[in-house]
Amino acid sequence: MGGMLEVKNLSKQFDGNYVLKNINLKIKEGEVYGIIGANGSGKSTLMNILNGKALISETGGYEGKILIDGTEVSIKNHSQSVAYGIAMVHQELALFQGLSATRNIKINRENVRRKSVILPEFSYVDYKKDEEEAKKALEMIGAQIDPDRMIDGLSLNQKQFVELARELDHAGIRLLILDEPTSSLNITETRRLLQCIREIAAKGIAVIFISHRLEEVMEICDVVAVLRDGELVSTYEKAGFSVGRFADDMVGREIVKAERKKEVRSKEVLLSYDRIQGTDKSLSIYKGEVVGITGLAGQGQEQFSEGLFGLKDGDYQAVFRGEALKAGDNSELVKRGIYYLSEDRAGTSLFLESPIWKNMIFGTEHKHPEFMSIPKVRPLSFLRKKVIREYTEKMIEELNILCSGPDQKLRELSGGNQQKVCIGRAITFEPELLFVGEPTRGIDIFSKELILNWLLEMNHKNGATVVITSGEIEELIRICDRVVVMYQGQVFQTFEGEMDPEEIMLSLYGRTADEK
Amino acid sequence: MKFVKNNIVPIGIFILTVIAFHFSGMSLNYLSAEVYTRFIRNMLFTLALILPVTCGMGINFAIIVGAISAQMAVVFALDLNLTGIWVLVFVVGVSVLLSVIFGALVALLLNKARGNEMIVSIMIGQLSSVIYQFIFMVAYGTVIHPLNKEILLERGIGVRSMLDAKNISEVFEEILPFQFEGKHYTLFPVLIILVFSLILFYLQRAKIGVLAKAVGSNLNHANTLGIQSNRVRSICIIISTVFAAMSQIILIGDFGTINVYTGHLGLDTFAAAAILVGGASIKEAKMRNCFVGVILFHALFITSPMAGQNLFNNPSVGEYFRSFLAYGVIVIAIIMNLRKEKMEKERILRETLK
Repeated sequence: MGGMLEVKNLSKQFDGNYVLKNINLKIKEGEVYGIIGANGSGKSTLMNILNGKALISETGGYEGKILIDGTEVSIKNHSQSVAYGIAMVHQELALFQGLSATRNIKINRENVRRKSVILPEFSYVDYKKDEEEAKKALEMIGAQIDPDRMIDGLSLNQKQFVELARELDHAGIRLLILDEPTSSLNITETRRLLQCIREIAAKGIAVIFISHRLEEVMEICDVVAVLRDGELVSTYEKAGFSVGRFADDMVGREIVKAERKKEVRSKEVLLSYDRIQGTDKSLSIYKGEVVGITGLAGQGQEQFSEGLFGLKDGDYQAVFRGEALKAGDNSELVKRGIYYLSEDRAGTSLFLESPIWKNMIFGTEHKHPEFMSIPKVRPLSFLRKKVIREYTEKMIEELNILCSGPDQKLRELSGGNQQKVCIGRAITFEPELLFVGEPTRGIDIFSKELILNWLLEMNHKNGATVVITSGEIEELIRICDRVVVMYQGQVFQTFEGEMDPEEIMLSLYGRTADEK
Repeated sequence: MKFVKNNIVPIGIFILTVIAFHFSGMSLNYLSAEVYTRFIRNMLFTLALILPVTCGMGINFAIIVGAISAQMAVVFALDLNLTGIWVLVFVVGVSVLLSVIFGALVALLLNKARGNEMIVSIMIGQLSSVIYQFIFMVAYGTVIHPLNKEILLERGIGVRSMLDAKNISEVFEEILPFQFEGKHYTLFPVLIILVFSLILFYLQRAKIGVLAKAVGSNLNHANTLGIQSNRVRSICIIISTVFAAMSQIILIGDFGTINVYTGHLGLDTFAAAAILVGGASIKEAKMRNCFVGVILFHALFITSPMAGQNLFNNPSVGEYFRSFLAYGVIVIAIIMNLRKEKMEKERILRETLK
């Protein structure tokens, strides 16, 4: 008995480099099929093949066979993939700003009143029918979103649901691919999405679920396949699931979890936020500590970092070493040794079209006179390429960045490796106070620990104070001295010492352990 | 207050116009008549800019190519000595055909110049203008032998720089004429503009409008979702070119003569200025921006030289005012629009945070 989708000896090469080697898998109707693997293990390439991405056909297509219901098909472009009933929700949501939810859901599949005789594009769109169908699609996944609303005004998880609705709205959908659907969702939203995926599968639609969060994979998948370096190393049925085994298969080596040795903290206040949102409440950051700030989406946990660096409004007075800081005056902040790696890596932290070396050293020259040929004339000096290249090569090795060398463009790296470059620059900058937003979002477990370890290393060796804004509570507990929980724009509770994950969880919802 | 904030550019220009009108000493009737003439000559050019802006290509300065198609069609019609309603049928038919072909070629080039469409479209406009001039200046009489020798220069090579287009203007004058301040005008161009406005309105609500918006919003996502973005962009450019061709026909019909070598020049700048004055940006343009913009821009364009002359008692200052306007207004409008866009972005961000 063949499955709904069967892949036989699928391989894919880019210029002679095989990124996928002889993949075999079989997915049945109504099955949730998990695919896990480290960054750069070939998951995305596999999905791109199934989804008929132009990137694949432009680079010579794929080798091997893809069978749907036992018949061989060839997927050369996106519309063929759609015609076979394959739909995909992208990790980086493919939604159009400035268009309503309805338009986004029905894009390129608009109902038309009457077909135009000149060009199909000239047909008049049936707005009423579109809206009805969009509404139906949204209701089907239990999302209460007005289809008339503009995408720009929706929260991240609402956007995720709109994207999901768009893919499910395809007529005759057989296979739904979800690429890291939960990476930007918090716990409640994730619950709801997983519930929704179960309902979709119950309708007989096969689901491919890609995620770095192994707990979720364990919970929702019927079968899990592990990819490593382009090869399918193992497949597990539900009975054989175990986080340990998954992790071992993914990296092929033991993972050492990052953990902070709790030290005696100094009581010197490095930075304090006073009068948060016009109240008399404040938050102090002590010198030399690692502090985590967490909260459910939209509870104001980003205001401290993004507000300080002018990306969002921050309603408070920030005082650094007794001097008031001006929010958004970033050159002044950088001068004082305050550095920020935003959670929006591609948008605000990296130059995607520039090579790794440039990204690695940008803005750190004043700390490294050795990078310049005539350090005295600082802004006018030539860069010493050789020194910089050597330095970058060293960093690439230390951070385990998968790339072809210091000259590779950032755009060509996978998300996890891009994040490592960000961390690399922070290390080069040697900040006194480092803000990091979601340092491990969308990153495989091996790289995750590596990044966390480097953050700790910076704290330990250079004495950098580190402020991490993250939704990954388990990580925060491991590496932070203190965890601050935000609720409705205010500091709700601060945990230190032995932290109880359950208490923090309750705190996220604005409740304390006593009133349980 | 919100209305003022959102429409700061048109309101600012309106106030300038009122001031210029006050100092110019013109009568309102004179101004209205002048604005009417310029409205019918420029309106369709400005409307032609909308779809390329929508699909993210910025202002299509290559609408000159459309004007060239119409100029060619008119010269052909004069060469064939056509008269009556058939002139119009011929000119419209040929110019649509030519502008579709030329528009497709322009689209081909612009699709290869992603991210730099505006500057490339300016260059395409310049280049095609030179090629066009070369054909009529050199090829006519040597390679191409016209039936109507009247249109050639006396030496037998090259078309005269000014040709009588009475055949066309006669057709225009006969349909819906009216008199104002003792001068003859016709409503026919307004009718054409109305028809094309409706067509554009329809297209914006049709599939092409929706897809253009998506392509303009995010080209990468559009490609990811299997939208044929090159095709969408090409269609928008072709429609834009056809609109420009129709506009040039109206212009020639209104003038009554055709300026073979220069009649198509400068219109792109005026159209761009007008649409920006109307509150559009290089990222977003609506039809009402065009209507408001054309009227405001030309009102200011007519009144300001006179105002300058009267204020400074010096005619050359008046001329300076005019040139300052055409280009200054484009720059000011772009800056003001950018500020508005930034504010809008921040507002959306704030609302999302709530």
